[in-house]
Amino acid sequence: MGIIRIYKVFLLLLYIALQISPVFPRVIFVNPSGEIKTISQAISNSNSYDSVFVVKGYYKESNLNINKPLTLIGTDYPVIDGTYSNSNILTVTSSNVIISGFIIKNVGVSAVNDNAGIKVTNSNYCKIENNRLFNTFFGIYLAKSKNCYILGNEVKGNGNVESQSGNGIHLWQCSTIVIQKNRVVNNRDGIYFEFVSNSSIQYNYSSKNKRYGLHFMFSDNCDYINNDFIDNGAGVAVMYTKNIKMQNNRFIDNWGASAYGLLLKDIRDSFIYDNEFKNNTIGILAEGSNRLDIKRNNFIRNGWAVKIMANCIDDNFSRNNFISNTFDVATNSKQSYNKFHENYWSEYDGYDLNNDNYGDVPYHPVSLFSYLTSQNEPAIILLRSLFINFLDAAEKVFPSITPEALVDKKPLMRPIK
Amino acid sequence: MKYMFFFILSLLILSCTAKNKKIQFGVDLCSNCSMKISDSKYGAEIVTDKGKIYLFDSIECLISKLSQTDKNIAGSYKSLWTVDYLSQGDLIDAKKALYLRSESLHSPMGLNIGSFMNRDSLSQFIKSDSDKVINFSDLMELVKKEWEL
Repeated sequence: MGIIRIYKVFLLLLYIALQISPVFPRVIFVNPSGEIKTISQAISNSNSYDSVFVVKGYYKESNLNINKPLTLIGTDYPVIDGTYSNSNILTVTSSNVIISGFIIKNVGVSAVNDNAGIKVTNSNYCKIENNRLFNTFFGIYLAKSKNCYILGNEVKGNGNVESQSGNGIHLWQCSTIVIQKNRVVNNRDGIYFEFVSNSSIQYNYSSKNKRYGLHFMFSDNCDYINNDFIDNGAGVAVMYTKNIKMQNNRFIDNWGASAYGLLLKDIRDSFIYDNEFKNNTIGILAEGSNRLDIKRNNFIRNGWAVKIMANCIDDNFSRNNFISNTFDVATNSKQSYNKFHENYWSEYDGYDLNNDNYGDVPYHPVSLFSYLTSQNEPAIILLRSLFINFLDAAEKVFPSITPEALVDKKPLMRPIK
Repeated sequence: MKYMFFFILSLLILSCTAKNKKIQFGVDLCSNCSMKISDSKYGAEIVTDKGKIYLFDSIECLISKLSQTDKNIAGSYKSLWTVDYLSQGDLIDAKKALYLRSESLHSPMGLNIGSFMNRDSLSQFIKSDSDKVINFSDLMELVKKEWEL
Protein backbone atom coordinates (compact mmCIF):
# COMPACT_ATOMS: atom_id res chain seq x y z
CA MET A 1 0.00 0.00 0.00
CA GLY A 2 2.75 2.43 1.08
CA ILE A 3 4.89 1.61 -1.93
CA ILE A 4 2.04 2.23 -4.35
CA ARG A 5 1.34 5.58 -2.73
CA ILE A 6 5.01 6.62 -3.04
CA TYR A 7 4.93 5.45 -6.64
CA LYS A 8 1.87 7.58 -7.33
CA VAL A 9 3.43 10.61 -5.71
CA PHE A 10 6.56 10.05 -7.79
CA LEU A 11 4.52 9.85 -10.99
CA LEU A 12 2.68 13.01 -10.06
CA LEU A 13 5.93 14.84 -9.37
CA LEU A 14 7.41 13.61 -12.65
CA TYR A 15 4.29 14.80 -14.47
CA ILE A 16 4.58 18.25 -12.87
CA ALA A 17 8.30 18.40 -13.58
CA LEU A 18 7.68 17.62 -17.25
CA GLN A 19 4.98 20.24 -17.45
CA ILE A 20 7.04 23.08 -16.03
CA SER A 21 10.39 22.23 -17.62
CA PRO A 22 11.15 23.91 -20.94
CA VAL A 23 10.99 21.88 -24.08
CA PHE A 24 13.78 19.32 -24.23
CA PRO A 25 16.65 20.31 -26.53
CA ARG A 26 16.20 18.82 -29.94
CA VAL A 27 18.60 17.85 -32.67
CA ILE A 28 17.96 19.35 -36.09
CA PHE A 29 19.66 17.98 -39.17
CA VAL A 30 20.45 20.08 -42.21
CA ASN A 31 20.92 18.09 -45.39
CA PRO A 32 20.95 19.36 -49.00
CA SER A 33 18.70 16.45 -49.95
CA GLY A 34 16.69 16.37 -46.73
CA GLU A 35 13.73 18.18 -45.27
CA ILE A 36 15.67 21.17 -43.95
CA LYS A 37 18.00 22.28 -46.71
CA THR A 38 19.55 25.48 -45.39
CA ILE A 39 21.34 26.43 -42.22
CA SER A 40 19.32 29.63 -41.91
CA GLN A 41 16.11 27.60 -41.91
CA ALA A 42 17.47 25.31 -39.22
CA ILE A 43 18.51 28.29 -37.07
CA SER A 44 15.11 29.94 -37.33
CA ASN A 45 13.35 26.63 -36.57
CA SER A 46 15.48 25.96 -33.52
CA ASN A 47 14.82 26.79 -29.90
CA SER A 48 17.41 27.75 -27.32
CA TYR A 49 19.89 24.97 -26.49
CA ASP A 50 19.02 22.91 -29.55
CA SER A 51 21.73 21.29 -31.64
CA VAL A 52 21.96 21.76 -35.38
CA PHE A 53 23.93 19.12 -37.27
CA VAL A 54 24.92 20.14 -40.77
CA VAL A 55 25.65 17.24 -43.10
CA LYS A 56 28.47 17.50 -45.61
CA GLY A 57 27.45 19.66 -48.55
CA TYR A 58 27.82 23.06 -50.16
CA TYR A 59 25.73 25.82 -48.60
CA LYS A 60 25.71 29.24 -50.26
CA GLU A 61 24.63 31.26 -47.27
CA SER A 62 25.72 34.34 -45.41
CA ASN A 63 24.41 36.75 -42.80
CA LEU A 64 23.38 33.87 -40.54
CA ASN A 65 22.36 35.27 -37.16
CA ILE A 66 22.56 33.16 -34.03
CA ASN A 67 20.77 35.07 -31.30
CA LYS A 68 20.04 32.21 -28.91
CA PRO A 69 22.13 29.54 -27.21
CA LEU A 70 22.81 26.98 -29.91
CA THR A 71 25.22 24.24 -30.89
CA LEU A 72 26.09 24.26 -34.57
CA ILE A 73 28.10 21.27 -35.71
CA GLY A 74 29.28 20.37 -39.19
CA THR A 75 29.92 16.74 -39.96
CA ASP A 76 32.74 16.04 -42.47
CA TYR A 77 33.33 19.76 -42.99
CA PRO A 78 30.33 21.15 -44.88
CA VAL A 79 31.17 24.33 -46.80
CA ILE A 80 29.43 27.66 -46.10
CA ASP A 81 30.20 29.96 -49.01
CA GLY A 82 29.43 33.64 -48.41
CA THR A 83 29.89 34.39 -52.14
CA TYR A 84 31.69 37.63 -51.23
CA SER A 85 28.56 39.38 -50.05
CA ASN A 86 28.99 42.43 -47.84
CA SER A 87 28.14 40.85 -44.47
CA ASN A 88 29.43 38.38 -41.91
CA ILE A 89 28.80 34.73 -42.66
CA LEU A 90 27.96 33.82 -39.06
CA THR A 91 27.04 36.47 -36.49
CA VAL A 92 26.69 35.36 -32.89
CA THR A 93 24.95 37.69 -30.45
CA SER A 94 24.05 35.21 -27.74
CA SER A 95 25.90 33.40 -24.97
CA ASN A 96 26.47 29.65 -24.89
CA VAL A 97 27.05 29.10 -28.59
CA ILE A 98 29.25 26.40 -30.09
CA ILE A 99 30.37 26.48 -33.72
CA SER A 100 32.41 23.52 -34.81
CA GLY A 101 33.54 21.67 -37.91
CA PHE A 102 32.82 23.99 -40.85
CA ILE A 103 34.63 25.28 -43.87
CA ILE A 104 33.67 28.95 -44.04
CA LYS A 105 34.77 30.96 -47.02
CA ASN A 106 34.47 34.03 -49.23
CA VAL A 107 33.49 37.09 -47.25
CA GLY A 108 33.23 40.42 -49.08
CA VAL A 109 35.95 42.99 -48.40
CA SER A 110 34.47 46.28 -47.28
CA ALA A 111 36.04 49.65 -46.59
CA VAL A 112 33.48 50.45 -43.93
CA ASN A 113 32.38 47.18 -42.31
CA ASP A 114 34.76 44.76 -40.68
CA ASN A 115 33.07 41.72 -42.18
CA ALA A 116 34.13 38.41 -40.70
CA GLY A 117 33.71 34.69 -41.18
CA ILE A 118 32.49 34.34 -37.61
CA LYS A 119 31.67 37.47 -35.63
CA VAL A 120 30.80 37.13 -31.96
CA THR A 121 29.50 40.12 -30.00
CA ASN A 122 28.33 40.45 -26.41
CA SER A 123 28.68 36.74 -25.78
CA ASN A 124 29.64 34.71 -22.78
CA TYR A 125 30.81 31.09 -22.92
CA CYS A 126 31.14 30.52 -26.61
CA LYS A 127 33.35 28.02 -28.32
CA ILE A 128 34.68 28.21 -31.87
CA GLU A 129 36.36 24.95 -32.66
CA ASN A 130 37.93 23.12 -35.59
CA ASN A 131 36.73 25.40 -38.35
CA ARG A 132 38.59 26.31 -41.49
CA LEU A 133 38.15 29.84 -42.74
CA PHE A 134 39.35 30.91 -46.18
CA ASN A 135 39.18 34.40 -47.74
CA THR A 136 37.09 35.71 -44.92
CA PHE A 137 38.50 39.27 -44.68
CA PHE A 138 38.40 39.10 -40.87
CA GLY A 139 38.41 35.47 -39.77
CA ILE A 140 37.14 35.07 -36.23
CA TYR A 141 36.13 38.39 -34.68
CA LEU A 142 35.17 38.68 -31.01
CA ALA A 143 33.86 41.94 -29.57
CA LYS A 144 32.80 42.61 -25.98
CA SER A 145 32.80 38.92 -25.15
CA LYS A 146 34.02 36.87 -22.20
CA ASN A 147 34.99 33.33 -21.31
CA CYS A 148 35.30 32.03 -24.85
CA TYR A 149 37.45 29.31 -26.30
CA ILE A 150 38.94 29.45 -29.81
CA LEU A 151 40.49 26.11 -30.54
CA GLY A 152 42.01 24.33 -33.51
CA ASN A 153 40.84 26.65 -36.27
CA GLU A 154 42.64 27.46 -39.46
CA VAL A 155 42.32 31.01 -40.79
CA LYS A 156 43.82 31.63 -44.17
CA GLY A 157 43.42 35.13 -45.60
CA ASN A 158 43.72 36.39 -49.12
CA GLY A 159 46.37 38.78 -47.85
CA ASN A 160 47.99 39.98 -50.99
CA VAL A 161 47.42 43.66 -50.36
CA GLU A 162 47.66 44.61 -46.71
CA SER A 163 44.87 47.18 -46.69
CA GLN A 164 42.56 44.68 -48.41
CA SER A 165 42.98 41.99 -45.78
CA GLY A 166 41.69 41.77 -42.24
CA ASN A 167 43.02 40.06 -39.14
CA GLY A 168 42.91 36.30 -38.64
CA ILE A 169 41.67 36.20 -35.07
CA HIS A 170 40.59 39.63 -33.89
CA LEU A 171 39.60 40.45 -30.31
CA TRP A 172 38.27 43.80 -29.16
CA GLN A 173 37.21 44.56 -25.60
CA CYS A 174 37.23 40.95 -24.47
CA SER A 175 38.39 39.17 -21.34
CA THR A 176 39.25 35.62 -20.28
CA ILE A 177 39.56 34.17 -23.76
CA VAL A 178 41.71 31.15 -24.58
CA ILE A 179 43.16 30.89 -28.09
CA GLN A 180 44.77 27.54 -28.65
CA LYS A 181 46.22 25.44 -31.47
CA ASN A 182 45.05 27.68 -34.29
CA ARG A 183 46.83 28.21 -37.56
CA VAL A 184 46.67 31.74 -38.95
CA VAL A 185 48.23 32.44 -42.32
CA ASN A 186 48.16 35.27 -44.86
CA ASN A 187 46.16 37.86 -42.93
CA ARG A 188 46.97 41.45 -41.99
CA ASP A 189 47.67 40.60 -38.34
CA GLY A 190 47.55 36.92 -37.48
CA ILE A 191 46.09 37.45 -34.02
CA TYR A 192 45.04 40.92 -32.89
CA PHE A 193 44.23 42.03 -29.33
CA GLU A 194 42.82 45.46 -28.54
CA PHE A 195 41.57 46.18 -25.00
CA VAL A 196 41.71 42.51 -24.05
CA SER A 197 42.54 41.31 -20.57
CA ASN A 198 43.32 38.07 -18.76
CA SER A 199 43.56 36.00 -21.92
CA SER A 200 45.92 33.34 -23.09
CA ILE A 201 47.38 32.43 -26.48
CA GLN A 202 48.95 28.99 -26.66
CA TYR A 203 50.33 26.57 -29.25
CA ASN A 204 49.33 28.64 -32.27
CA TYR A 205 51.13 28.82 -35.58
CA SER A 206 51.20 32.24 -37.20
CA SER A 207 52.92 32.71 -40.51
CA LYS A 208 53.08 34.88 -43.64
CA ASN A 209 50.88 37.57 -42.14
CA LYS A 210 51.44 40.91 -43.79
CA ARG A 211 51.88 43.01 -40.68
CA TYR A 212 52.33 41.15 -37.40
CA GLY A 213 52.03 37.53 -36.39
CA LEU A 214 50.52 38.70 -33.11
CA HIS A 215 49.60 42.23 -32.15
CA PHE A 216 48.76 43.51 -28.67
CA MET A 217 47.31 46.97 -28.10
CA PHE A 218 46.25 48.14 -24.64
CA SER A 219 45.83 44.54 -23.49
CA ASP A 220 47.01 43.96 -19.93
CA ASN A 221 47.52 40.76 -17.97
CA CYS A 222 47.71 38.37 -20.93
CA ASP A 223 50.17 35.67 -21.83
CA TYR A 224 51.35 33.95 -24.96
CA ILE A 225 53.19 30.68 -24.61
CA ASN A 226 54.51 28.01 -26.99
CA ASN A 227 53.58 29.77 -30.22
CA ASP A 228 55.42 29.85 -33.54
CA PHE A 229 55.75 33.16 -35.39
CA ILE A 230 57.42 32.46 -38.68
CA ASP A 231 58.06 34.68 -41.68
CA ASN A 232 55.60 37.45 -40.85
CA GLY A 233 55.95 41.12 -41.80
CA ALA A 234 57.10 41.29 -38.20
CA GLY A 235 56.73 38.63 -35.55
CA VAL A 236 54.95 40.10 -32.57
CA ALA A 237 54.19 43.68 -31.52
CA VAL A 238 53.31 44.38 -27.92
CA MET A 239 52.27 47.99 -27.44
CA TYR A 240 50.90 50.20 -24.65
CA THR A 241 50.47 47.29 -22.32
CA LYS A 242 51.59 45.89 -18.97
CA ASN A 243 51.94 42.51 -17.29
CA ILE A 244 52.46 40.28 -20.29
CA LYS A 245 54.14 36.91 -20.06
CA MET A 246 55.89 35.74 -23.21
CA GLN A 247 57.40 32.32 -22.90
CA ASN A 248 58.65 29.46 -25.08
CA ASN A 249 57.77 31.11 -28.38
CA ARG A 250 59.74 30.91 -31.58
CA PHE A 251 60.33 34.06 -33.62
CA ILE A 252 61.86 32.99 -36.90
CA ASP A 253 62.64 34.45 -40.34
CA ASN A 254 61.15 37.91 -39.91
CA TRP A 255 63.29 39.61 -42.53
CA GLY A 256 62.89 43.02 -44.12
CA ALA A 257 63.58 46.70 -43.73
CA SER A 258 61.18 47.24 -40.85
CA ALA A 259 60.98 43.66 -39.63
CA TYR A 260 61.67 42.34 -36.17
CA GLY A 261 60.97 39.28 -34.12
CA LEU A 262 59.43 41.21 -31.26
CA LEU A 263 58.55 44.90 -31.08
CA LEU A 264 58.10 46.28 -27.59
CA LYS A 265 56.63 49.75 -27.48
CA ASP A 266 55.55 51.37 -24.23
CA ILE A 267 55.16 48.17 -22.28
CA ARG A 268 56.15 47.52 -18.69
CA ASP A 269 56.42 44.90 -15.96
CA SER A 270 56.55 41.97 -18.35
CA PHE A 271 58.41 38.70 -18.68
CA ILE A 272 60.19 37.32 -21.73
CA TYR A 273 61.46 33.83 -20.93
CA ASP A 274 62.81 30.86 -22.93
CA ASN A 275 62.06 32.18 -26.40
CA GLU A 276 64.02 31.60 -29.56
CA PHE A 277 64.84 34.50 -31.90
CA LYS A 278 66.39 33.19 -35.07
CA ASN A 279 67.14 34.78 -38.46
CA ASN A 280 65.37 38.07 -37.85
CA THR A 281 66.52 41.48 -39.04
CA ILE A 282 66.10 42.60 -35.42
CA GLY A 283 65.42 40.07 -32.67
CA ILE A 284 63.91 42.44 -30.11
CA LEU A 285 63.30 46.13 -30.70
CA ALA A 286 62.43 47.94 -27.47
CA GLU A 287 61.19 51.53 -27.22
CA GLY A 288 59.90 53.12 -24.03
CA SER A 289 59.69 49.77 -22.32
CA ASN A 290 60.43 49.52 -18.64
CA ARG A 291 60.99 46.87 -16.01
CA LEU A 292 61.14 43.90 -18.36
CA ASP A 293 62.73 40.65 -17.29
CA ILE A 294 64.37 38.95 -20.26
CA LYS A 295 65.82 35.57 -19.38
CA ARG A 296 67.03 32.33 -20.95
CA ASN A 297 66.29 33.34 -24.54
CA ASN A 298 68.29 32.24 -27.55
CA PHE A 299 69.26 34.92 -30.04
CA ILE A 300 70.69 33.16 -33.06
CA ARG A 301 71.87 34.60 -36.39
CA ASN A 302 69.92 37.84 -36.25
CA GLY A 303 71.02 41.08 -37.86
CA TRP A 304 70.64 42.82 -34.51
CA ALA A 305 69.83 40.54 -31.58
CA VAL A 306 68.56 43.42 -29.45
CA LYS A 307 67.99 47.06 -30.27
CA ILE A 308 67.20 48.91 -27.12
CA MET A 309 66.39 52.60 -27.26
CA ALA A 310 67.53 55.12 -24.68
CA ASN A 311 64.02 55.56 -23.32
CA CYS A 312 64.01 52.01 -21.89
CA ILE A 313 64.71 51.81 -18.17
CA ASP A 314 65.32 48.99 -15.72
CA ASP A 315 65.19 46.14 -18.20
CA ASN A 316 67.11 43.09 -17.13
CA PHE A 317 68.81 40.73 -19.58
CA SER A 318 70.28 37.67 -17.94
CA ARG A 319 71.25 34.12 -18.89
CA ASN A 320 70.47 34.61 -22.58
CA ASN A 321 72.51 33.10 -25.38
CA PHE A 322 73.68 35.50 -28.08
CA ILE A 323 75.03 33.35 -30.87
CA SER A 324 76.32 34.45 -34.29
CA ASN A 325 74.43 37.72 -34.53
CA THR A 326 75.83 40.41 -36.78
CA PHE A 327 75.32 42.85 -33.91
CA ASP A 328 74.52 41.73 -30.40
CA VAL A 329 73.13 44.95 -28.97
CA ALA A 330 72.50 48.35 -30.46
CA THR A 331 71.38 51.52 -28.76
CA ASN A 332 71.08 55.18 -29.63
CA SER A 333 72.55 56.73 -26.53
CA LYS A 334 75.71 56.75 -24.47
CA GLN A 335 73.68 56.19 -21.34
CA SER A 336 72.24 52.86 -20.37
CA TYR A 337 69.74 52.25 -17.62
CA ASN A 338 69.43 48.54 -18.29
CA LYS A 339 71.26 45.58 -16.90
CA PHE A 340 73.06 42.85 -18.84
CA HIS A 341 74.22 40.09 -16.56
CA GLU A 342 75.52 36.53 -16.98
CA ASN A 343 74.69 36.15 -20.66
CA TYR A 344 76.57 34.02 -23.15
CA TRP A 345 78.03 35.98 -26.09
CA SER A 346 79.55 34.00 -28.93
CA GLU A 347 81.54 37.12 -29.92
CA TYR A 348 83.20 37.25 -26.52
CA ASP A 349 86.92 36.55 -26.71
CA GLY A 350 87.91 36.95 -23.08
CA TYR A 351 89.41 34.28 -20.88
CA ASP A 352 88.51 32.48 -17.69
CA LEU A 353 91.65 31.93 -15.62
CA ASN A 354 89.93 30.93 -12.40
CA ASN A 355 87.68 28.43 -14.19
CA ASP A 356 84.44 29.61 -12.64
CA ASN A 357 82.73 29.57 -16.05
CA TYR A 358 82.50 33.34 -16.10
CA GLY A 359 84.81 35.40 -18.28
CA ASP A 360 87.29 37.49 -16.32
CA VAL A 361 86.98 40.57 -18.52
CA PRO A 362 83.66 42.34 -18.99
CA TYR A 363 82.00 42.18 -22.39
CA HIS A 364 80.72 45.30 -24.14
CA PRO A 365 77.97 44.04 -26.43
CA VAL A 366 77.60 47.34 -28.30
CA SER A 367 80.38 47.43 -30.85
CA LEU A 368 81.57 50.76 -32.16
CA PHE A 369 80.22 49.97 -35.59
CA SER A 370 76.82 49.02 -34.19
CA TYR A 371 76.74 52.37 -32.41
CA LEU A 372 77.78 54.23 -35.56
CA THR A 373 75.15 52.57 -37.72
CA SER A 374 72.37 53.36 -35.28
CA GLN A 375 73.45 57.02 -35.51
CA ASN A 376 73.88 56.89 -39.25
CA GLU A 377 72.15 54.02 -41.00
CA PRO A 378 73.79 54.15 -44.44
CA ALA A 379 77.11 53.43 -42.73
CA ILE A 380 76.00 49.80 -42.72
CA ILE A 381 77.56 49.54 -46.17
CA LEU A 382 80.96 49.36 -44.43
CA LEU A 383 79.99 46.13 -42.68
CA ARG A 384 82.80 43.57 -42.67
CA SER A 385 85.36 46.02 -43.97
CA LEU A 386 88.88 45.77 -42.59
CA PHE A 387 88.83 49.39 -41.46
CA ILE A 388 85.77 48.76 -39.28
CA ASN A 389 87.45 45.73 -37.73
CA PHE A 390 90.38 47.93 -36.76
CA LEU A 391 88.07 50.52 -35.27
CA ASP A 392 86.17 47.91 -33.31
CA ALA A 393 89.37 46.42 -31.98
CA ALA A 394 90.65 49.85 -30.94
CA GLU A 395 87.35 50.66 -29.26
CA LYS A 396 87.48 47.41 -27.33
CA VAL A 397 90.83 48.33 -25.86
CA PHE A 398 90.01 51.97 -25.14
CA PRO A 399 86.23 52.38 -25.01
CA SER A 400 85.47 56.02 -25.74
CA ILE A 401 82.39 56.24 -27.95
CA THR A 402 80.26 53.22 -27.13
CA PRO A 403 78.05 53.32 -24.01
CA GLU A 404 80.35 52.31 -21.20
CA ALA A 405 77.55 51.49 -18.80
CA LEU A 406 76.11 48.89 -21.17
CA VAL A 407 78.31 46.02 -20.14
CA ASP A 408 78.05 42.41 -19.10
CA LYS A 409 80.46 42.12 -16.18
CA LYS A 410 80.01 38.38 -15.82
CA PRO A 411 79.73 36.92 -19.33
CA LEU A 412 79.32 33.17 -19.47
CA MET A 413 82.00 31.09 -21.13
CA ARG A 414 79.60 28.44 -22.41
CA PRO A 415 76.07 28.76 -23.77
CA ILE A 416 73.17 27.83 -21.54
CA LYS A 417 71.41 24.69 -22.65
CA MET B 1 70.88 75.94 -73.38
CA LYS B 2 69.99 78.91 -71.23
CA TYR B 3 66.30 77.99 -71.36
CA MET B 4 67.17 74.45 -70.47
CA PHE B 5 68.99 75.72 -67.41
CA PHE B 6 66.01 77.77 -66.25
CA PHE B 7 63.70 74.89 -66.97
CA ILE B 8 65.69 72.54 -64.76
CA LEU B 9 66.06 75.21 -62.10
CA SER B 10 62.31 75.79 -62.02
CA LEU B 11 61.73 72.03 -61.78
CA LEU B 12 64.06 71.88 -58.81
CA ILE B 13 62.29 74.73 -57.09
CA LEU B 14 58.89 73.24 -57.76
CA SER B 15 59.95 69.87 -56.45
CA CYS B 16 61.00 71.49 -53.19
CA THR B 17 57.63 72.97 -52.25
CA ALA B 18 56.26 71.44 -49.09
CA LYS B 19 53.41 69.30 -50.32
CA ASN B 20 51.70 66.42 -48.64
CA LYS B 21 52.11 62.96 -50.04
CA LYS B 22 49.71 60.08 -50.32
CA ILE B 23 50.21 57.46 -47.64
CA GLN B 24 51.23 54.07 -48.97
CA PHE B 25 49.12 51.74 -46.90
CA GLY B 26 50.86 48.53 -45.99
CA VAL B 27 54.27 50.06 -46.62
CA ASP B 28 54.75 53.26 -44.62
CA LEU B 29 55.44 53.25 -40.90
CA CYS B 30 53.89 55.52 -38.29
CA SER B 31 56.41 58.09 -37.03
CA ASN B 32 54.96 57.93 -33.55
CA CYS B 33 54.12 54.32 -32.75
CA SER B 34 56.24 52.55 -35.42
CA MET B 35 53.27 50.49 -36.54
CA LYS B 36 52.83 49.82 -40.20
CA ILE B 37 50.03 52.00 -41.55
CA SER B 38 47.51 49.61 -42.96
CA ASP B 39 43.93 50.75 -42.42
CA SER B 40 43.07 53.17 -45.19
CA LYS B 41 40.19 54.67 -43.21
CA TYR B 42 42.67 56.24 -40.83
CA GLY B 43 45.97 58.07 -41.12
CA ALA B 44 47.50 61.51 -40.74
CA GLU B 45 50.44 63.56 -41.87
CA ILE B 46 52.56 66.50 -40.75
CA VAL B 47 54.45 68.56 -43.32
CA THR B 48 57.13 70.71 -41.71
CA ASP B 49 58.45 74.11 -42.85
CA LYS B 50 61.35 72.39 -44.50
CA GLY B 51 59.12 69.94 -46.32
CA LYS B 52 59.88 66.93 -44.16
CA ILE B 53 56.90 64.64 -43.93
CA TYR B 54 55.85 62.63 -40.89
CA LEU B 55 53.26 59.94 -41.50
CA PHE B 56 50.93 58.51 -38.86
CA ASP B 57 48.54 55.60 -38.67
CA SER B 58 45.91 57.74 -36.98
CA ILE B 59 45.15 61.32 -35.95
CA GLU B 60 45.83 60.28 -32.33
CA CYS B 61 49.46 59.59 -33.15
CA LEU B 62 49.77 62.93 -34.94
CA ILE B 63 48.65 64.76 -31.82
CA SER B 64 50.96 62.68 -29.67
CA LYS B 65 53.86 63.67 -31.92
CA LEU B 66 52.85 67.34 -31.80
CA SER B 67 52.87 67.20 -28.02
CA GLN B 68 56.40 65.88 -27.84
CA THR B 69 58.71 68.69 -26.98
CA ASP B 70 62.05 67.23 -28.00
CA LYS B 71 61.89 68.02 -31.72
CA ASN B 72 59.50 70.95 -31.36
CA ILE B 73 57.37 70.05 -34.33
CA ALA B 74 54.50 72.02 -32.85
CA GLY B 75 56.38 75.22 -33.58
CA SER B 76 57.59 74.38 -37.05
CA TYR B 77 54.94 72.59 -39.04
CA LYS B 78 53.52 73.94 -42.23
CA SER B 79 50.38 71.88 -42.54
CA LEU B 80 48.51 69.04 -40.87
CA TRP B 81 46.56 66.43 -42.80
CA THR B 82 44.22 63.64 -41.92
CA VAL B 83 42.74 60.81 -43.95
CA ASP B 84 39.09 61.24 -44.90
CA TYR B 85 37.31 58.23 -43.42
CA LEU B 86 35.21 57.69 -46.52
CA SER B 87 37.81 58.20 -49.19
CA GLN B 88 40.28 55.32 -48.91
CA GLY B 89 43.29 57.46 -48.22
CA ASP B 90 42.62 60.98 -49.49
CA LEU B 91 44.08 63.66 -47.25
CA ILE B 92 42.06 66.60 -45.96
CA ASP B 93 43.16 69.62 -43.92
CA ALA B 94 43.25 68.36 -40.34
CA LYS B 95 42.31 71.73 -38.87
CA LYS B 96 39.19 72.02 -41.01
CA ALA B 97 38.08 68.42 -40.66
CA LEU B 98 35.39 67.25 -38.29
CA TYR B 99 36.09 64.35 -35.97
CA LEU B 100 33.64 61.75 -34.80
CA ARG B 101 34.30 59.75 -31.69
CA SER B 102 32.11 56.68 -31.80
CA GLU B 103 32.33 53.06 -30.76
CA SER B 104 31.40 52.13 -34.31
CA LEU B 105 34.79 53.39 -35.47
CA HIS B 106 37.75 51.26 -34.45
CA SER B 107 40.73 53.48 -35.08
CA PRO B 108 44.16 51.83 -34.89
CA MET B 109 45.13 53.56 -31.66
CA GLY B 110 41.96 52.72 -29.83
CA LEU B 111 40.37 56.12 -29.24
CA ASN B 112 37.67 55.42 -31.85
CA ILE B 113 38.12 58.63 -33.81
CA GLY B 114 37.43 59.10 -37.51
CA SER B 115 37.99 62.21 -39.63
CA PHE B 116 35.37 63.58 -42.01
CA MET B 117 34.99 66.40 -44.52
CA ASN B 118 31.69 67.68 -43.18
CA ARG B 119 28.72 66.89 -40.99
CA ASP B 120 26.72 65.21 -43.74
CA SER B 121 29.34 62.59 -44.40
CA LEU B 122 29.68 61.53 -40.76
CA SER B 123 26.02 61.47 -39.73
CA GLN B 124 25.58 57.87 -40.91
CA PHE B 125 28.16 56.68 -38.35
CA ILE B 126 26.48 58.21 -35.32
CA LYS B 127 25.03 55.19 -33.59
CA SER B 128 24.44 56.21 -29.98
CA ASP B 129 23.94 59.25 -27.78
CA SER B 130 27.46 59.06 -26.42
CA ASP B 131 28.95 59.63 -29.89
CA LYS B 132 30.52 63.06 -30.17
CA VAL B 133 31.40 65.33 -33.08
CA ILE B 134 34.34 67.61 -32.33
CA ASN B 135 36.74 69.97 -34.07
CA PHE B 136 40.52 69.87 -34.13
CA SER B 137 41.20 71.86 -30.97
CA ASP B 138 38.72 69.76 -28.97
CA LEU B 139 40.41 66.71 -30.39
CA MET B 140 43.81 67.93 -29.19
CA GLU B 141 42.41 68.29 -25.69
CA LEU B 142 40.73 64.90 -25.85
CA VAL B 143 43.83 62.99 -26.95
CA LYS B 144 46.03 64.79 -24.44
CA LYS B 145 43.61 63.94 -21.68
CA GLU B 146 43.14 60.30 -22.68
CA TRP B 147 46.82 59.63 -23.19
CA GLU B 148 48.03 61.85 -20.38
CA LEU B 149 50.37 63.78 -22.66
